[in-house]
Amino acid sequence: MNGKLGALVWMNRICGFATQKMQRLLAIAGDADIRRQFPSLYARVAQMMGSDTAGLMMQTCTDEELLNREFDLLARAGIRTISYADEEYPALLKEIPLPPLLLYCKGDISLMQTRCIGIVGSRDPSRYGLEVTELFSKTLAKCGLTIVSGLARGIDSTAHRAALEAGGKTIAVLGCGIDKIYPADNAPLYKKIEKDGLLISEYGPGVPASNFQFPERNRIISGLSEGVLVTEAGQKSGSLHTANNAVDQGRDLYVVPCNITSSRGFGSNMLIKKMPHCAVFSPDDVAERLGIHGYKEPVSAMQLDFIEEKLVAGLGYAELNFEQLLELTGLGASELNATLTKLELFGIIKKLDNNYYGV
Amino acid sequence: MLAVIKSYALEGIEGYPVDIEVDVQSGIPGFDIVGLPGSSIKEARNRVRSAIRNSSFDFMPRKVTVNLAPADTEKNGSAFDLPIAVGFLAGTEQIPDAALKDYVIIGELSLDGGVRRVNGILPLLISALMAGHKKFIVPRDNAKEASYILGAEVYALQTLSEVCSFLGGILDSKPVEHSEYSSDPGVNKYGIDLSDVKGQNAAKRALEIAVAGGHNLLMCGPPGAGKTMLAKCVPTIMPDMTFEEAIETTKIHSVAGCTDSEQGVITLRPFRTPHHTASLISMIGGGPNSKPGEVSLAHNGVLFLDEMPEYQSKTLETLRQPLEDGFITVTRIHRVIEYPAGFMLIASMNPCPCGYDGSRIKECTCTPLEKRRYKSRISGPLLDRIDIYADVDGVDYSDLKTGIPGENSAAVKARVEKARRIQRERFAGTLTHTNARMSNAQIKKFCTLTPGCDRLVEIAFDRFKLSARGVSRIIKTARTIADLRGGAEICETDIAEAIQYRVRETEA
Ligand SMILES: Nc1ncnc2c1ncn2[C@@H]1O[C@H](COP(=O)(O)OP(=O)(O)OP(=O)(O)O)[C@@H](O)[C@H]1O
Ligand SMILES: [Mg+2]
Ligand SMILES: [Zn+2]
Repeated sequence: MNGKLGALVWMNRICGFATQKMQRLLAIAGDADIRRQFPSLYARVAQMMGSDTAGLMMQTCTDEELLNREFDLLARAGIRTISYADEEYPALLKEIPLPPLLLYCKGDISLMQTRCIGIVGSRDPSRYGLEVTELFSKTLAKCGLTIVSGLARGIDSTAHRAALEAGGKTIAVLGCGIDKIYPADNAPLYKKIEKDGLLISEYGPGVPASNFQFPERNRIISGLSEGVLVTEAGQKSGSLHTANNAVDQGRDLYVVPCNITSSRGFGSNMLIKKMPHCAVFSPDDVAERLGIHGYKEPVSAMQLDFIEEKLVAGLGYAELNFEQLLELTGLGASELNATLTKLELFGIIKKLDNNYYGV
Repeated sequence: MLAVIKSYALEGIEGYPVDIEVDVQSGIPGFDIVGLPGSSIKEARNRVRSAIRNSSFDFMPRKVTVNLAPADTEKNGSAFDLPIAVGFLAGTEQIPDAALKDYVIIGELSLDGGVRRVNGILPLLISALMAGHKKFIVPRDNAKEASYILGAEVYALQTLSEVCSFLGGILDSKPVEHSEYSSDPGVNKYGIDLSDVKGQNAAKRALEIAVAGGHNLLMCGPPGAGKTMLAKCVPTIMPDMTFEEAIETTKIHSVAGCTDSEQGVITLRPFRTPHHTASLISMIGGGPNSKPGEVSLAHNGVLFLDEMPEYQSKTLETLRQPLEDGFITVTRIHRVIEYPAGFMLIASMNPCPCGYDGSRIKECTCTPLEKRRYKSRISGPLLDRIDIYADVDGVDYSDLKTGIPGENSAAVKARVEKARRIQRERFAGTLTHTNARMSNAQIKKFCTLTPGCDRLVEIAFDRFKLSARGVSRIIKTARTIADLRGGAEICETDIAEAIQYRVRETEA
């Protein structure tokens, strides 16, 4: 059954081999269908990988029933498998060193054919980091780019969420089995991406999250993307690893400058110090480098009265707290509350922590 | 010879009659107390003996049996010392027993024959008065508290010999003069005023709405932002206690033994701040003497939970019943006691364990996990009962120094009282008193929304990912805001303002 895909599912699911090992085995087999012709390859495999491995492969190589059962299982879980030889396999991803040979997918696989940009950052971001992520992800998604990230806490989750909220598309690349939700509290987001976006993983169902898999996952995030945007990375953030991958894979790297007094943006700022041309200051900067027209928010149809205009203008200048807004507008507490809600509901301003407001 | 003295014992905040029968016979000397006495009553024997001797009476070695009837309820406390001593003296014919049946006698004895104050005089006397008793002998130190009970003839005496002379007709004592309840309207005696708080207009408005509609309130802000100070102002803008409320509050505090002899009746609304390490018993009541706990001591006032996430979830869980029903049930081995516990809950929390998440002055040092753990501790059933959430940020130094003092408590209180009046009329004849306690049916009936309001709620529902509960909290709060401005209908600005005080639980 189905040549290359069958061989890969056999090696990955039944024999338990990861991409690197599968790569070596395919190299041995050359043009031959490794599964059908395994007996003739046995000696060379045993020599290279030991007789235990070869023996296991020998036992299962022609067991069609076992393989069919595996395919059934995947189909019932709503998981699509795509091999590097399939036409659905994204062209960009093929260009990286050691591309994944087999992808497990849930959701809209056509997204892999769209123009993608990776947005990554630390799992413990500052409020600034989250805001920046939301701004870039929303705007770039509205420009028609698919936002790729890793479904981790912090920046990753915010990037996915913002893209979906903007009505855009997003791909989450998991560092664990395709059916595992990690971290568990991202379950609602996972479901939403499955419905409105795409989840992919190099790991089949049941594979638990483990630390060495996250760096492997990072190469796919950058591999799928034309460029990678780092919105906020601390000194040891895993997103720096993704940034390096992007550079190694010849992709664009974009870095948003961070607060120099905060340790949370140290990694980002170091990237900019090393590669000043990476710095971007607005979503438009990114869009321009990717050769797309920036997205303009349609001007709100809502009529603002004089005081509301003044308030919005004031917030455009700086984030202000309730007391400052009272002074600015001359309203009483009760009226100001009502006005703030109105502007908030129309998406013109935002309520921040500690009684601050911003646009 | 047998003597019978009338006395009263406490059950919860009510009194019940206890007949103290003292039988003195010749025979092998002994002193037995029967009728389920608790340990403090068993010890009465020693106090009574010394008090009698030191009051120059004769404690003759006799066979004495004291029965506390009804014999099937466990009795505690020291308030039977005096009636037992009087019973013994009557039983040994050292004093005449003719006058005894007219009095209810309550008091503890000290070894030198002095009569000491007891807890719960107010509830004891009120129950006895309602049962038809008119004349009371109580400790002198309880006089002030007893003086508020209209129609009671209270004799407050200081020693056992005084009591005996009085009963024998030798001492002519006047009954305690009746005190009128007065709450001194217009005078703020809480020692703090809303005008002391500089700035903080968002939070002050939240307090006003919360108090006006009886809504529970959660304040969130960095350390030193003034949360505790704001909470302390809440009693100053609550309506003055009515006489009934004052009596009920005093009853509870009297039973708990935290009234003093000067004060008499409690006129200030309680402000209770149990520490987060407080035991479950001190929170809800119970223990060997079935004392009322903090939730009851806060009755008619404020229960302030500072740093709410620090409280054990078990403790927070127990607040559900009082928040729902206004009373708490304390289960004891022999019986179940109910204490009133109708308080306004004010809780404070920091945005995160270190306190500086989102702050502009200091950077937060917490990990995401720590932050989530902290927030998850207050989620759930308790948060559902908090209608109003206010962010509180620190005030600039310049504002602290020169800030224009805002309105004082009296001005705010006047508006609150007006809004409360509207609610009294609205809910007349029902068990509900405030907007916060409206049932779903009442929300439907009293909070009809105009199409414009409806649309506003709908947009907010989507935009802020509100829950169904979140929506009904906003509507109840909007009802109160409308009442504060005297509006019959809820209008769009009321809803809009209420939305600013939404509990931002689900927003990331
Ligand atoms: N708005 C204000 N106006 C006047 N004084 C203030 C104000 N805010 C704070 N203070 C002063 O600061 C002190 C600290 O405030 P408070 O104890 O209420 O802070 P808190 O928010 O409860 O802090 P914590 O989280 O540490 O308990 C108050 O005693 C008061 O003197
Ligand atoms: Mg405090
Ligand atoms: Zn913190």
